[in-house]
Amino acid sequence: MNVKQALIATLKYLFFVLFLFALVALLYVAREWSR
Amino acid sequence: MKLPESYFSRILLAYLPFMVCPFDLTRMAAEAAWAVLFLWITVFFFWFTRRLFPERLLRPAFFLWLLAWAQAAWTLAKLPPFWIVSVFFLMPVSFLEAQNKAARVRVFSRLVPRYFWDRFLSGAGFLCFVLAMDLGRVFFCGALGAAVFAQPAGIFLLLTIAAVAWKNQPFKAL
Repeated sequence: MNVKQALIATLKYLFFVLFLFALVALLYVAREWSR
Repeated sequence: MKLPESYFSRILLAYLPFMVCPFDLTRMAAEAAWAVLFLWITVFFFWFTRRLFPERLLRPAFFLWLLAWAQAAWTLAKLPPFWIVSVFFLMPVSFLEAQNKAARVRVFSRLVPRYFWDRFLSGAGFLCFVLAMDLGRVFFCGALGAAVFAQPAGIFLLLTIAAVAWKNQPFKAL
């Protein structure tokens, strides 16, 4: 695995973490708005 | 469990959550419209981002996406929490399968409108199905006063009885 592939894989995992954060933020916003 | 491939059986499965909610026509139509709209949003989102996910995390991401939105719409819009089941059943079976590698399709290629047109039609078909079932329910229960149609599942009960009677009809003289 060369450097470029490793970089792309890392970026993909970072994107997944970002996605999880977005989902948690969505749940938080939904809970705050429903009050 | 293996999901059925044919579109009509998946529509029937997707109609299951609506069977247990005897709402009025407006509420039912709004719920079905939201489920279909969310189906289109999901298809659109994953069409453009599935190459950005690590391959083995794509399915967990998909299910987390469904769960989070189910919870959010439940708290925000007071939808029954199982509305997401209809979205799940309306998804095409091959959606997110491992052998369906995302091809390098350009954003403005001709494949994109065709793909979305298929998904658009499946959503619109489900909406029409729900509306037809519920209009039938309103007509039979309200206008004709048949109490068995008070529940959305009533029409299925009658259809089942009809099918069983049809299959077990007595011997016909030749």
